[in-house]
Amino acid sequence: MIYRKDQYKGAGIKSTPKSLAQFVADGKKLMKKYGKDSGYSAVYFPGKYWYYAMSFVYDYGGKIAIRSGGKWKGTLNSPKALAALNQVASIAKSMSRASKTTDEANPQQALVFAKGKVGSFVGNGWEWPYALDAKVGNPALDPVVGAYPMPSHIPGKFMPTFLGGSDLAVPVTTKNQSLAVDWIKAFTSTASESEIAKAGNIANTTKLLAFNASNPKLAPFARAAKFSWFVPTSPNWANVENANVLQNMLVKIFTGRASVKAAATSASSQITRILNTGA
Amino acid sequence: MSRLAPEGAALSSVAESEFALASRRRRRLTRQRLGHAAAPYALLAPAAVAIGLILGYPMYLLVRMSFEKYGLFELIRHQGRWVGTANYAQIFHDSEFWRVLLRTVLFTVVNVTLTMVLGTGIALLLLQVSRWLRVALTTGLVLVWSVPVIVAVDIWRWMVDYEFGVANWSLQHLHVGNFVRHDWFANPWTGFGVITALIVWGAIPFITITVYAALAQVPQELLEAAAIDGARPWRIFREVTMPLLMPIFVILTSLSIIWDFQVFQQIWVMLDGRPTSDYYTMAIYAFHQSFQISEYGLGAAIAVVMVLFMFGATLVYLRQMLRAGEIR
Repeated sequence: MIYRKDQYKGAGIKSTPKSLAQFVADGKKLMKKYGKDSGYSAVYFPGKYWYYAMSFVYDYGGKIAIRSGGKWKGTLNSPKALAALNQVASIAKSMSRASKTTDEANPQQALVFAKGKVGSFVGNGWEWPYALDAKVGNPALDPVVGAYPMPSHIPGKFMPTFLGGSDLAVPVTTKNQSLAVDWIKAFTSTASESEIAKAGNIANTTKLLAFNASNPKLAPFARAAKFSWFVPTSPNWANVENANVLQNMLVKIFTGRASVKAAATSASSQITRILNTGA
Repeated sequence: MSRLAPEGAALSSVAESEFALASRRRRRLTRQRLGHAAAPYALLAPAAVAIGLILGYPMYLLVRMSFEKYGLFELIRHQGRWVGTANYAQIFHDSEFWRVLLRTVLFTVVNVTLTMVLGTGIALLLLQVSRWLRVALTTGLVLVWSVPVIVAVDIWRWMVDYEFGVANWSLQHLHVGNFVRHDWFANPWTGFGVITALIVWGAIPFITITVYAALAQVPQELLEAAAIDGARPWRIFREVTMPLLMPIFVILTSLSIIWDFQVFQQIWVMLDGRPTSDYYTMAIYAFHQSFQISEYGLGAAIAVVMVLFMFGATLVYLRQMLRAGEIR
């Protein structure tokens, strides 16, 4: 969570939350203090921000899909996932004035944050300096911005965060397969990744997180990165993302056009169908 | 006319002289007649070949793919697997497909009606206003027409933006209601309202300018005669102007149906390339099936249905209008 220290203090919050319950209570305090401005969000949570929403699901012990007997099954309508999604819906409804139909990148949430009417948002390490950027952000916020790992519903623990992004692969058709493999080996080696970590990025292994422990602007992200979740490892997963299944579900929940259960059940059956095609 | 001329010439030649000469001449004439008959086809041939290559062959591939299972694995192998009519069976049993079809038809009807009525209305208005206002209006229309679609969509998208849009800002300041951070796309009805406004706005110039040009061709005497006979303006429009402009209206309406039924960019760009399923029209649904979830066979089947549907709708409409024209 990237947050406004001054607003937290102003709302009477003494320390950053250590549990989801406390996080929710703090959010309510922020809304009470600043929420009269109808553009204010204690927690900026746009409708299609599925990475954040799914963190709740994994924190509550739910999963997007499970594989058993060679078949995938969408499990967003499991009791644990439903409990998580209800919590998501409640936070979004009572603490966020973000659009229910856009995502975290349109508009860039860090820039909405820079406008001053956001108490906190879930962002990557790079979004902190981006919010302070002289051209597009607001450098004046520098002294009052901080970050802490999103707390779990289990007090004292952190909520798992999505870690993933680019994949490295060797095309079957390339003439220089062994060179490509060597390059991937070199690039992902501890030596190379240490440099990447030193430059302020999240490395490819939790063993290298210590590099950023002393940097106050990166340490919270490094701590949060120790607990992560990942999407179902199926070659068809890209189709689930491209079909916007999770975004559709969240938009339906956030706009109240479907109940949490109905939206999750429909999304689960779509995920089951897509993951099992061609299998 | 040109086909009748040689026949007339042949008849007179038989009447005037001997058999041999006549038969030789007839042979030459037959050859000439053949040439006459073949000429149009020869002239059409290059166009037919071009259409066959750029439209016919891809259509053939599309139809073939609609009978195949064609997913990611088939894409890598460059080889589909024949499944007969399974794709069609699947989409016809899919409630989503019928919802999308109904939504698209409704969307088309609303958009075409609004475009035609407003476009014709503005064209009639152009006849009435002063010269400088006409020039100003026409300039405005041409400017709208010349804005590239993607640019237009982006401008509209900024206007109705949730956080910073000028539409919300203006409505708030006009005290119409609470429009602070009003999300136009949270409700598909208002969302489609915005998209319809954008499409109609973009389509009106073409309709207006074409209808205005056609109106200039309506003989002034006819209108005067009707007025002298005591017909009111609305009746004159319905009984005199409308029938004369019918061919233009048929063409414009058919074109508008084709454009609006397959609308894609406006919805796609307006919703940032990730429209929720409430915003699927046929074109988006076909694209979604093909390129988003890599079910190219299903996508092709939807596209084929779409082509047939559009072809059928336009054909029925054209035939009806031609018949109506014949009776008059």
